[in-house]
Amino acid sequence: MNDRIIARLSGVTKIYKMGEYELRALDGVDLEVREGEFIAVMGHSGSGKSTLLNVLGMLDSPTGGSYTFDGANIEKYDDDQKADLRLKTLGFIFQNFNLLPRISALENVELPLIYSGVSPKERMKRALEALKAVGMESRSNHKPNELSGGQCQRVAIARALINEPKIVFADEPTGNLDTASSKDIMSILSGMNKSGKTIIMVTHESDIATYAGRRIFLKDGKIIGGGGNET
Amino acid sequence: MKLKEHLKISFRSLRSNPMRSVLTMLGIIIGVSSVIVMIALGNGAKKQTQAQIQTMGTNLITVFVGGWHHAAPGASAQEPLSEDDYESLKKEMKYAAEISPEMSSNLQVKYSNVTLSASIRGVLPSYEAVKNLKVAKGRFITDSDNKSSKKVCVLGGTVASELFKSIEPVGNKIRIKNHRFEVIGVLETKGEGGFGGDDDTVVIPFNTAKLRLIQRANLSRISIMADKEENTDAAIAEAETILRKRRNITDPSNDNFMIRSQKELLDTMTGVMNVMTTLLAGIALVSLIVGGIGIMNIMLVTVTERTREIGIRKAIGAKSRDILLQFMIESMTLSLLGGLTGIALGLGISYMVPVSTGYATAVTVNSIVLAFTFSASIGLFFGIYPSRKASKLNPIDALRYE
Repeated sequence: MNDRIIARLSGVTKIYKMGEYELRALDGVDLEVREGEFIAVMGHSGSGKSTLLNVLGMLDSPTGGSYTFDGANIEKYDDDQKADLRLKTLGFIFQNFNLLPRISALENVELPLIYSGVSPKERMKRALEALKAVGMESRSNHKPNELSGGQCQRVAIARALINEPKIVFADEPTGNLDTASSKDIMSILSGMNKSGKTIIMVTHESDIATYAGRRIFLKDGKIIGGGGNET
Repeated sequence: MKLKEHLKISFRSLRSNPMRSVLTMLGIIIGVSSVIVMIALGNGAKKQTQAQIQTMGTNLITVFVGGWHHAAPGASAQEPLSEDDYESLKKEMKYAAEISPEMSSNLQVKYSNVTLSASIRGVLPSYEAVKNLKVAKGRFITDSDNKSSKKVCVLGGTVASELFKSIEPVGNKIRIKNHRFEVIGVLETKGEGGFGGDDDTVVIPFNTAKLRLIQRANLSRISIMADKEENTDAAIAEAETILRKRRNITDPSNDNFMIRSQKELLDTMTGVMNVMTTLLAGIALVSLIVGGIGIMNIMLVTVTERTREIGIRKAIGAKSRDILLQFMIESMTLSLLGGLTGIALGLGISYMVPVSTGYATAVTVNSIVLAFTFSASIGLFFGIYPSRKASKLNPIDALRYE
């Protein structure tokens, strides 16, 4: 881990309007993410932890505050520019894997490369390497419904890593997995972190959070612990 | 991202639901093929009619008795056509190449035990050229036949075949009223149908008709052949002037004769057929639009069904344009593939119809181009709304969609 700040949130709010009622999902969040960190975002359901992840992952736009990513101010970016950043610099791992059901594991991993315009030959090579890194090369031609939950999540991790992202976001990556598979997935994630990847993970399980180097606690859209930079 | 990749993604999702894709295309297939078949039928009918009229010669002009206005009270009584009318037209017309008077009547014609009704026409030898007749067997009537009022006749193709079946008509005698006529020739069958054709006529010398068979003082009509097709209108004007002068008519609306040309008939029929073709094509185009709405409907369902997929694609970095293209290509593929299949089917039907029903068809390149561009633009037009809807989905909402 070095001291370079890759992402910085200052005074970020996210307000959902439901008729007259306003829901402050994020309420003045300040956060600095350093390169090589493994952060666990914790909190009860409704605390705003998923919203925080979506804002950091540029899937959602904050209502107020500023977000600086890799030196650039993100608020001014339009949807396509954000899509481009997601494609080239971010990776996503979801609780329910979010693999496309009709195509093989290999093709799922290739997907981001298709959108970045990599040639078919190169795509195949890199996707196979990525699958090998998560121990799935023997099942590359299976479709998601022919794989177990743990295997699906490995494929999703391979897909998240294929474009060499600067940050990997994981939203309850073990939420749908049994204990053994959870351990596998977490050891892959911590291996990735040891080799230098920045990871931000949302979880509500404290034993899963122990894999992370830093834990942030959210309550009612505010960071109530771990927001500072103690390591 | 390359177009090739977009095509791959779109084809893949169309293939994953083959039944739905085929049913959606069916609307376009039916629309396109009916446009082509309808236009082919309309054009076929037009060409057939034109050909029939042209076999009678487009420079043919016919003078009839009467006029459009003689029913008006106080108007001059209908004046019959006389031989003098014929003589002065023959003498004074410059644009007439050939001219023949005609005295005709529908009479029973009999050979052995076969009797049929035919139009008996007493004419001069020039009638052969005027009506563009062709003698298949034997000869046409001559001046000497006419001068001596010989009882000879030339049979129209239909009359000859119905009366004589397989027997050779030329040299045999037929009975008209109580006269016996020798068959001296048979005309070629024109197959012109119902437009005052020559297939069901019996042609006899003019004097024979006048003096022996029909025994009237007046002519039924006068047939004139203009020297050139482009002079037809000039010839009509000329004939009108001559007849008005003879009959002391100053106001053309008081004409007590009627002149019609084959060209007019041709133009009228062509106009009618064009209207019919446009009407048929219009109805077929409506079905094409309905097919387009079918595409839009299915695309909207597809977008809803694949909301999650769209969310996943967007989350990993697909731009709005990528999603828009993916769905546009799907709807374009449906309509273009449907269009091509429809063209093939339309050509097939247009080929089969004449074989199985006898209706003429004429496929035009224009109809194919029209049907194809229309189906392509339908894919474009009806694809835009669902595709935009897909591309505008918010990734977070799309990912949460169950």
